[in-house]
Amino acid sequence: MLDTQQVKNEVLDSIIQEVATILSEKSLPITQLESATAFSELSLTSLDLAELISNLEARYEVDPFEELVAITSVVTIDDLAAAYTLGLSGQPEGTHDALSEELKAIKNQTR
Amino acid sequence: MENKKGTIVISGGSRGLGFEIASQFLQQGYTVATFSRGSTEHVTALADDPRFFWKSVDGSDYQALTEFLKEAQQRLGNIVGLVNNAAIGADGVLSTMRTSDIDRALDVNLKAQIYLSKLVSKKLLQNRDGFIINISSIMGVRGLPGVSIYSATKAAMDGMTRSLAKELGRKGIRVNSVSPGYFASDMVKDLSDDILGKIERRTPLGRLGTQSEIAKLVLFLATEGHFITGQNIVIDGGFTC
Repeated sequence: MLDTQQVKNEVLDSIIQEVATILSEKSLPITQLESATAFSELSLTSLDLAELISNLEARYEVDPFEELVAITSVVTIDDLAAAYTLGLSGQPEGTHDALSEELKAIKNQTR
Repeated sequence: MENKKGTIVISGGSRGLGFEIASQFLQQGYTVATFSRGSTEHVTALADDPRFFWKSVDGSDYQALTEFLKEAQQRLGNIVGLVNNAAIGADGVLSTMRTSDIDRALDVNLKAQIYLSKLVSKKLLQNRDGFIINISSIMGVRGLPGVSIYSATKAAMDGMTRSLAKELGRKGIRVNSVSPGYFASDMVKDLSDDILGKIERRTPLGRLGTQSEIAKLVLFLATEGHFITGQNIVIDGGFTC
């Protein structure tokens, strides 16, 4: 099972790929895309972002912006990846399930 | 089932104008997904047709609409267009209308269409192509006593048409309204012969419209009107001219 960091890394790759495609189709310069890159630096319109989010929603079958995350809080590629990570795993990136860890420890003790 | 022309989503396609629109799209080789609150003999007759999908859905239930669209795409394939057709009449003097009737009209005529447009526009953005056609009414552009809520919902829909057309145009998505005048349908079945006669006399073309004529306009906008967006096309025999 993937942990939240693995999920986020996969989502980050998808986002960067999607953004590069949109920039290429609009004949915009493809700068170095990194997780810290802000969407405002990329000359993308709000409609381009809507298209990006529609494509991500189709790929991951989850809409984190319906309840979990406010779209206005998304500034960087990393923010968008974090939103989908939350939508997919139900947990923010890098969180540990304390209860699962505790159960695992108990199981180990009883063996 | 996948088809080359794609799937058209129609709200309220189980009877009347909605079913006529569905039938014409089917005749043109599209697949059709539609929903309404209750079934009719029309949808029962098409139950075994793999090009047609009907489900009982309350359009004001966002989650139910989401699931309907997911199922429609799984069964019929890529969604290429939306016809927001579902509507109920809300007749009466506003000061004496029940608030529950007002709420119901707002839910069916407006809220459901906004929800559906939001959900389907995501699919169209993925395609960078497609259309939304809102079935409005001449009541949205002309006043008439006793239909203030119905008029309000249709005028609101026309407002959505114009703004959404500007919002989505850059991605190749067209949004238009079609505003029928009086035509033979359940909406006019309770009017007296005297009233219908007056309407015909006030109509330059001297008769009521037909569902087929309105459906043909919808089909034209969908399949031929590639440079038409943000418009409200009135089809009323000249009643409002």
